[in-house]
Amino acid sequence: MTNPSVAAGWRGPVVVALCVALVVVAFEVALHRLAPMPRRDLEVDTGVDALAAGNPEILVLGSSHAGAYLPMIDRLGADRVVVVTEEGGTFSAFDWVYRHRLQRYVDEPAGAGGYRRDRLKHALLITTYWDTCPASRTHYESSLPARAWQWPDYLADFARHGVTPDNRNFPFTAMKRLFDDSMMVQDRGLENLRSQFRGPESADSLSGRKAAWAERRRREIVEEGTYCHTPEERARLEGLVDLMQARGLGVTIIAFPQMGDLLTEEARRTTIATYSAYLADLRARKGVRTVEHTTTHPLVYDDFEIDCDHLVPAAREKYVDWALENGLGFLRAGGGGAQ
Amino acid sequence: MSFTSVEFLFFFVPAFVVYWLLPRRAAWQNAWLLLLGTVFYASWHPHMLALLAAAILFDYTIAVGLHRNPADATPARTALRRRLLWLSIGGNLALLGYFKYLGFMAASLSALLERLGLPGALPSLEIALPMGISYFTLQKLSYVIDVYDARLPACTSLPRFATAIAFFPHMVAGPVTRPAALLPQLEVARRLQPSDVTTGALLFLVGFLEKACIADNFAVTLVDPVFSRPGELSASAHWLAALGYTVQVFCDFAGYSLMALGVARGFGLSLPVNFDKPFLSVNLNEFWRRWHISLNTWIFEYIYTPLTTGNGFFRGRLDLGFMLVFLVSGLWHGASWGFVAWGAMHGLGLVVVRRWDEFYRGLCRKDRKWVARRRTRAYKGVAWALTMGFFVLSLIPFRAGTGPDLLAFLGGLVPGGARENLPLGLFTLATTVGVGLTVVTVEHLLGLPLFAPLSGRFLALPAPIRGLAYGVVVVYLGVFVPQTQGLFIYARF
Repeated sequence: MTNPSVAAGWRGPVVVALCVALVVVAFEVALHRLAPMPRRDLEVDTGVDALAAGNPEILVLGSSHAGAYLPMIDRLGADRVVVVTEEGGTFSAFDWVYRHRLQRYVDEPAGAGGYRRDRLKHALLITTYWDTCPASRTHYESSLPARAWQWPDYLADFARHGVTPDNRNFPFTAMKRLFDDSMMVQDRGLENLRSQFRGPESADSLSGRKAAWAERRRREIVEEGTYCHTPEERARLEGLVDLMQARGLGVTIIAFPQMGDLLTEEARRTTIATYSAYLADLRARKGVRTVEHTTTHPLVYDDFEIDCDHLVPAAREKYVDWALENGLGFLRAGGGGAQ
Repeated sequence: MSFTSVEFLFFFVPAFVVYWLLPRRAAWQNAWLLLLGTVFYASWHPHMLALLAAAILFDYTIAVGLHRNPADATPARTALRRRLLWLSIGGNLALLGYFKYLGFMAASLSALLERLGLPGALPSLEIALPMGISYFTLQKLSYVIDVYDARLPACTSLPRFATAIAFFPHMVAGPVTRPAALLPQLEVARRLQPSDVTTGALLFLVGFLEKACIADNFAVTLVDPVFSRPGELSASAHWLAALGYTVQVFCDFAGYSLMALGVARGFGLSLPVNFDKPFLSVNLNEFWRRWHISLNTWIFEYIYTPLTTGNGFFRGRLDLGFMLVFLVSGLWHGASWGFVAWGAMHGLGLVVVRRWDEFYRGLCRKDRKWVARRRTRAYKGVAWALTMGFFVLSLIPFRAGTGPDLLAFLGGLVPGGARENLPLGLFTLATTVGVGLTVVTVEHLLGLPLFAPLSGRFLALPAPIRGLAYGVVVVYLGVFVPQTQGLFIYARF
């Protein structure tokens, strides 16, 4: 039996804690009524869970650009396509995600020999020249803990290095997931609420910001050509290709569309041409299929978001429909496995 | 990981739950605390764990040696005891000197040689400073000295001694908790008490508010923009930055100390109070009895008192004693001439206060009216303004990175220079600066006799009302804590 005086001693703290929780919940409810939840990024876990639960034919892997291929699930069937996006990732990150999160399912054996996911034939890698940029510029080491790590990965890194600016992203994201419905956690600083009070941004302001961003990116693309194309990142891509091919997957490397206005003549001649030549070389050396959409695509200025890099939802549909007729037609028939 | 980081949430919750689920035996509880201390320390510097372990083992062994050779034994044993004491002092200071001061001394010597036009510049030494070394060195030294002076029996349990030194709430940035205060608490099993949980949570909440909200927001809005380009903004911006930095340092360190006290209470242990409303002080003596109390009592008890009351050169030389201990305090805070200047200013300040006190006592002896004058509000007001003004100005070399920056900042305090002001919106002023000043002011007012009963009255309110009030604070923190937390200023020492 509980001692009554002990129970009385705890009553006060429990009531205080409940009242604190009440205030927090009331504030959260008010926030939910006043402002929408911020848009959530696609997570590696979403793709991994889909792969673990199914037996797809096509595995799409890339950075946030891979999100543009989500309509492919509607077009070809949810049982045929799995899309894995690693926000902010580069080839090193794709390689890590494949080896640490996907390979256990891709290579999972069946009871009577062979693979459990025996329908899997195609791996689509969604890429740009940016994926060859060095870690010091892309900071993919921060993106992996946030998007792809699990607790064992974090604890192993913690044991080696303690808390670092990179691995701090794991607990930070873990907390965001823990308080999935909390506006205070998901929308730190209540930016959404502030925007709600300020009202929607005018079309002029939006187009001005997009134009300014485009101007900046025009310069950056040329600059990035001078320090990207690193042997380290290329080696990580090629290691990934080898691994996928060893599993019998047909690897297709897609060069993701760039907004036409961003590519100056100089950028086309340098950064873009270098990456295109590298893909051609890879095709010859590794026997991968390459699909060059960097400059050849139906997308126009308004199809790109304000960052001039990602596609607005409607443009994703437009792009996927076009891509399935231009370079990715072989996916419709369900044929063409290993090259 | 710091107390305000997300990592700490994932660390503390399981640490707390497991601790209270363990069998209620001191050995189990201490073992868990030691493991937690190891993990906590590894979160800063995993490669320095061996150093921490060796440092603990070193002083544990010396204290056991002192224990086995009691003071009332033969002269040979007395000599051995003295040698053991000096071995501990020398070893600890050598360790601290190597990690904290060798690079500074080499750089200073090189600069001196270069200035004198002499060859022999020394290579620059980049020695990583083990986190918390300034704190655990003082803790271990006080332990060995206390055992030597027979004020404390030696701890014969290595795990318990290691737990006392590596108790994670005080390990990285204090309070400087002497083993004499912690070891007796670790000898007995702890029982979860409602008062520990409520007091601990309240201390943590207030500390978190001070550190994560006030200190970090003041840094971003008032302090860093001016100190990062001294002399380029208006004089009012410079004064705001100087005042803001004073509030920032207080909230940063007092907030950390409160959180440390709160976390320790969560494990059923008490740490010493480190701040006692220092901005109410009307002279520097009082100020240093209220600010960083654990360090200052350590310095006065283990350096100042033995020096000025011993038989050596410093006997009776109180002014020199002040200068020495504050130079030591300055150097303890950091290996740079800015800290030395800060220490010298305070040493000199204390000398002036002591001399003024002597002079004033002479006046009182001649005419008793002077006694009454000292008790007037006007006298106290002027004394308070002088004390606070001195402290605010003394923090400028503490914050300014280099000599030229310091001079530029001091120049910026003089009106008539640049006219650009800090870009402060009304919303920012109200929600960060305004709230910060209100919290610090209320905290200090509660230390005055007139307002002191208010805190008791608040704590006596019905639990639901207190809960609603705390809930509002939690919501405020949820909205206004900056996303990126800075390191505690005092963890750098």
